Amino acid sequence: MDITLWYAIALSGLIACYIVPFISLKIFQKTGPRVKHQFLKHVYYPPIHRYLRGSEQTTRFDLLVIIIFLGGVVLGTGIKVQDVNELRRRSGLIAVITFIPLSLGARMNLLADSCEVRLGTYRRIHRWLGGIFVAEGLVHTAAAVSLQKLDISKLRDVGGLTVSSGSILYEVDSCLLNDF
Amino acid sequence: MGLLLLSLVTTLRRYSYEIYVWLHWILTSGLLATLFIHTTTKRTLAPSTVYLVTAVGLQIVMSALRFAQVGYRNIKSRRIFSRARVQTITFKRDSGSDILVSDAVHVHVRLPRLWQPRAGQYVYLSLPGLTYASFAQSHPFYVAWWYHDEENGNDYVVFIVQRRNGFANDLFLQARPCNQSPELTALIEGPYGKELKLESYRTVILFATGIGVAGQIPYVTQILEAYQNGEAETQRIALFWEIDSEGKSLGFFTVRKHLSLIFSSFRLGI
Repeated sequence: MDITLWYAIALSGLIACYIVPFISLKIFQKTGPRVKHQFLKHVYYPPIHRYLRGSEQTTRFDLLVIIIFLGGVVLGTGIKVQDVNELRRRSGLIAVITFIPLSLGARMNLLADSCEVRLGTYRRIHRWLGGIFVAEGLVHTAAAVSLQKLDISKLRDVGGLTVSSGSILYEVDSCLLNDF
Repeated sequence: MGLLLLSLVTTLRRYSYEIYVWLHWILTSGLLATLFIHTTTKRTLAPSTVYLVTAVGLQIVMSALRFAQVGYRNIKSRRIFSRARVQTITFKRDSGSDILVSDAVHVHVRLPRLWQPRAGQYVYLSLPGLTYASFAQSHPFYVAWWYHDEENGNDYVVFIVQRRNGFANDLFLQARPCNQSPELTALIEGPYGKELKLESYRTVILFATGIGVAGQIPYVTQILEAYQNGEAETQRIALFWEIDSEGKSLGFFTVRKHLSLIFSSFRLGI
């Protein structure tokens, strides 16, 4: 059960991030133009209220995908977690799972292009995934440190420290400069 | 050590985007390696190992794919590598001297292997010979227009690049008027991008700001071509182009001239 649970989380994460717009529009082509037009008019094209948006163009569809993604992450990390050890294990795994689509690259690539992801959208997906990776890493670090003290002599702990501080710096850097 | 390197990232990025891009890539590989060290179990099928191996494998696959793609696009038997000419844009007046457009250049790239360019496509362009540092740089540009040179049988795509800091600035400094500009090796990665099918609409309204018109020109060109072939239902195309300053309006006249040269049989109200 355990491995399949993580597999389901991983798969749903990937699908949500990359393929939902592509597949949904293909489905709507089959169901007829009216559904597709309604979808485009009310969900896919309109940007959300400008106070929520910030400086980027976010559409309602983007917001939906973001909410689903965040919901999936929170569920995967938090649902039915018994103790801090379990939290540590789960958040570490989810961080690594989130790293997989990140390793497709910061630049546009064939896979993203064949799913008809636009350049600006792809960059934002990459940034969101990176942010979640960092957040989960921090949760994992906090849980691990609260369970047992850091032991510098152990390579594992040194490695963990490097990764967590590195990812904090990545995130601070992206937030401060806010353009990619 | 990883900490020290990463702390440089924040300050460096402001000054040089390029170094940041490379550091991002290198440090991510370092992060992966550290993650491997960090995971405790050595079982091959443990979830963490499986995922890490997937991430590494994906990076390798994507790099290989990109390499193959660039190789396919740019290398052909008799003409190895694309060749680029960076040209200044000159507004030719009938009387008086020509005015040089001061904030944009054209980059004409001769392609060894043509794809059929469509509107809405962009490529990553890299000009390794431009400056000492430009061998590692690669930037996305929209394909503004394309043409076939009958004399030499070459196919060209053209990009309009606005002068800004960094790569675009280097391009501008190296630009020369037409026929005087030296040929540089170019590497094209692409084309990426999805095309919007606009030919089935009777009225098409296009909006552009500044340099963004480079992305709209191919749509206009394509609709007019389709109309010539009888495939388009479009009756009217309206292009609204917002420009900042008077100097940039000279670029507008060159665009207009380019369009009217190609489509002299249409009524272009500009």
